[in-house]
Order: sequence, then C-alpha cells, then structure tokens
Amino acid sequence: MRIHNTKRILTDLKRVRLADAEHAHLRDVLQQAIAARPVTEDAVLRRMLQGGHGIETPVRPMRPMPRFAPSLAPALAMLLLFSAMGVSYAAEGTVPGQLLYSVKVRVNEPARGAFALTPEAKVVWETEQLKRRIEEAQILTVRGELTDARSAMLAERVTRQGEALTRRVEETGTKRNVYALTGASIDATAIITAQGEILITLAGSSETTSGGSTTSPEVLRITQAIDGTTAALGHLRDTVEGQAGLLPTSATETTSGETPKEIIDFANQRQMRAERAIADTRTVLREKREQIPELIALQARAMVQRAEEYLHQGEAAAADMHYALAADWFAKAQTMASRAKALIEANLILEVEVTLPEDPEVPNQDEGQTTEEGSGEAGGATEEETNSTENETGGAAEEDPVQPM
Amino acid sequence: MTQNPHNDIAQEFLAAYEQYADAIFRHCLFRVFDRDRAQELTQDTFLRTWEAIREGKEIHNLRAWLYRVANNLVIDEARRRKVRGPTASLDTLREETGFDPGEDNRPELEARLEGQKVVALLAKLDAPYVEVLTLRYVEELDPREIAELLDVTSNVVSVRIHRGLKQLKALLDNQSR
Repeated sequence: MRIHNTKRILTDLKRVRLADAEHAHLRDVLQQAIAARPVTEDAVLRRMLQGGHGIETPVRPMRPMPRFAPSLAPALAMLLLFSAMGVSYAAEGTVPGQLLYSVKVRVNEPARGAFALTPEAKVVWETEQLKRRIEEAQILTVRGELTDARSAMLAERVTRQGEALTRRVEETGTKRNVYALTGASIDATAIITAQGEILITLAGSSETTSGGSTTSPEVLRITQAIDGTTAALGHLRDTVEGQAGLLPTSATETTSGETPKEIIDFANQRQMRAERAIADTRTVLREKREQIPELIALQARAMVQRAEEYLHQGEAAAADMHYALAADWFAKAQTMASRAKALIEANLILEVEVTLPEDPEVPNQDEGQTTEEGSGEAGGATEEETNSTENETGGAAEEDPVQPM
Repeated sequence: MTQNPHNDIAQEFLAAYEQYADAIFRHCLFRVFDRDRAQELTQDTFLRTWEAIREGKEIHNLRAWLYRVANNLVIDEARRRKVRGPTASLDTLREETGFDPGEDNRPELEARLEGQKVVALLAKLDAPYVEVLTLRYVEELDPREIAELLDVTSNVVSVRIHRGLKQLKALLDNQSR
C-alpha cells in the first residue's frame, strides 16, 4: 500500500462518531451540569472586563520536571494537597475578601511561577501576576467592594511584584541583550499600563457626579503603585541603554552587534505597538463599561429566579439567601447605573422589576439583618427600596454576610 | 434589556459541544480503543471545560482547550492502565468504533478492507504516532496546531507524522503478505 492510500484511509476514520443516542445522552449530561453549576458572577465579570484577552491553557508539563528552589517545596506540597482536594482550582477565580484568595496567591502562584525557568519566562509570569492584582482591583471596583484594607493590600502587592518584575527584566539584560531587556520592559509596561487604564476608567465611572472625575483614594493608591513600577522599568531601560552607549548620535555598534539606530527603531516600534494596545483596550473598555450595570441587574434577576426555585422546593433558607443576594445585586446595579449615568440611562436598570411571591413561608428579611445595610429589604426588594440603597451599596457590599460567590 | 450573558455562555458552550463532540470522542477512542471509556473521557472533557468556563478561566481557542483536556485525561488513563489492554479483534473494533465504510457509497471493496485494517492497526502503532496521525489526517489539524497542542515543536510533529505513516505502511505491508 502506498503512503498516500494510507493517508486517504486515515481520513476515512472521520466517519467514526458518537451514535445519535450517545450524542443526545452526553448533551443531556452537559445541560444538567450547566443547570446545576451555572456560570459564576466572576466569570461573567471577567468576560466583560477582559473582553477575551489573555491566554491560559491547561498545559500538562511534557518536559522533564525542573529543579525547584528548596523554598518552593512547601508551596508545591500544598499545591499537590490542595489540587487533590479541588481547592487549588476553585481558588483561581477568587478576589481579595474571599476565602480561597490566600490559596491563590500563596500556593497556586508560587507553584506556577516555579515552572518559569528562563529570565524571559519569569518576566512574563511576573507581569501576569501584576496583571492579576490589577484585575482583582477592577473586579472589586465594579462590585463596589474595593475597601481601604483591600486597596492597601493590593497596592502593596503591586509594589512588591513590580519590584520583582523590574529585577526580572534586569536579568534579561545581564548578557547585554539590550533587545530582550528593552522588549521585556516595554511589553510589561504596556500590559500593566493598559490594566491601570481600565482600573481608572472603571473607578471614574463609579464616581458620583458631585465627585467629578476625581479618583477614589483606594484606586489612587493602586494606580500610584502601578506608576512606580512603570517608572522603575523606564529608568532601568534608560540606564541600561545608556550604559550600552546607545546614544542616538553614536555610529558605533553595541557589544551585541546592533547599531544604536536599530535599537532605537526597535524600541520605538514596541512603544508604538504598546500604545496601540492601550488605545484598543480603552475602546473595548468604553463598550464594556456601558454593559456592566445591565450585567449586574441580570445577575440580580438570576438570583431571584433561583430563590423562586428554592421556594418551590420548600427550601426556605436557601430562597431567603438568594433573595438577599438579589437585593444586593440590584442595589449594586442601581449604584453602577447612577454612577455611569453619562454612559447609560438609569431607567434602563429600573425596567428590571422584582416580583416576589407573597408566600407566608418566606422568612422576614428584616429580622436578624442590619436594615441600614440595604440587605434588610431583601425579602421584598421593590423598585423604590432598591432606589433607596443607591448611596449605601458600597458599604452594603462590604458588610454583606453572604458573599455573592 | 438585551441578552443574558449567563445564557449566552451556556449556549456557546453547548454549540461547541455540537461542533466538537465527535472529534473529541474520536481523539479519545483512537488512544484508548475502548468505546465506553472513550465516551466517558469525552464526557469528562466537556464537564471539566464547563467547570473552567464557569469559573472564568480565559479560553481563547476552545477547540485547542478541549483537545488539551482530552489529552490530559487520556494520559491519566494510560498511566492507570500502565500497559494498554489487549488489542481488540478486527470485528470487535469494527463494532466498537462504529467504523463501517459500508455507510459510504464508495464502491471499492479494497478501500473498505483497508479502512478496517487501519482501525485495527492503529492499536498496534506506537501511541505518539497514533496521536499525530489521527490529529493530522482525521481531525485535519495542521502541524503547527498539533505542535501547540502537544507542547512540542512543529518539526517533531512532522517527524512523528512521517515515521507514523512509515510504521503504519510497514504494518499494512506485513499483513498483506
């Protein structure tokens, strides 16, 4: 048999497929799984915020296991333990204030970082970690949950990880590889600057009209940490390029063989690319921002639906909890709508009416709840009551006894 | 109010199931040569992917993601088995894989027989060759996509395809003698 015949016969194997009944059965299983474990709020928010940027794929390490620093052994051991328990996986989508967040930053990330073996890979990973911190700040900002404590913690992490990133970038230049250093520095700067822009825009949209365009102190603290990192990266780039004698007027070649003009052209190209990426991000963000209040309102409606399902099943406690969550989400949607009134009309959110059944079994939410926090109205959140929480939801989210996760 | 993003995500995922279920099933089947197990692995692949989606993992290329998850599951399966089970008979394979060239209108008896032989012989090929041959010729992924999927270089993929075809041809030639 000739090779091309073999190929042809291989392609015939395409006709091997699931039988119709098998296909339908699998689809049923998936539909049940989707119903039982719907998309989390974080997933939807991330989808909205990130607009599908970034790449993360479940890569199985195919190469021999690298040698890890002894200091990473506890993190790796914990990772193995938590992986077995499914905790590690669940922790990945968390933000500060959630139970598994410490697993994410103290176990998952150090362990994942251990797989970055080259200076270039380490730069990518350090940048990714910084990006994650800023994204967490974005999510908390959208939810109105970026408290002073969380902001301080995130700013401290941004500063610390920014310093680590700068050191890593410096490592790429140790062999006088100016291209690598310049490229790594500009790329990292572009990524974190773009994320910082997103954060500022989100925070800006969260401001009341009386506050004008001023940024809240919580957000400002994080953006200052970002600026510190980008300044350090810029300074490093200037220093190394200066040490390499890369003066625009010099006609000599660098030790790595490139002429100064080539280096500068290269840097300018990367800079332009970075600026384009930031501009694109701003455009995407402008579109996304308009959808966020709407999205949160939809989340609230989903909570009401779930509460009603629980009520039909006679599970009053679960229904109770979901009504409370619905009220919380409605309040957040209302707040977001009013804050972003330049972009979206507030009455769009008010179109979402909450019609709760008059069931005597529904527990009275006013009992045992702190009514001033807004969640006290959860059992019967009406349009008027939702309006009344407009200026309180930042605090309400913070003190909410049930995290909407 | 516009669409519900929760429903959109679920609908996109179900559409992906419709599009890729058979390909993932084949990918598993030609690695484990056990129809029931391949179905289970296909189911696990999609369930795990849904978990990733619902948790907000960023998935840019869903097809590549599904293959990776399936690959990981198949590798786990192989580790559990340690040694691949006995190769099924031609008839059993035909029954189990559902491979029936007779469904096609192509009249050549020779081609049918050769097709059945290939299914049986796939089980005799080295696993890395089965992997690249099926990805290349059954799923029609290009070497660059396969390389990305398997975390190897395109050159390695091309070499494996070449050697796989050669090994398959040798097995076919031996059978025809």
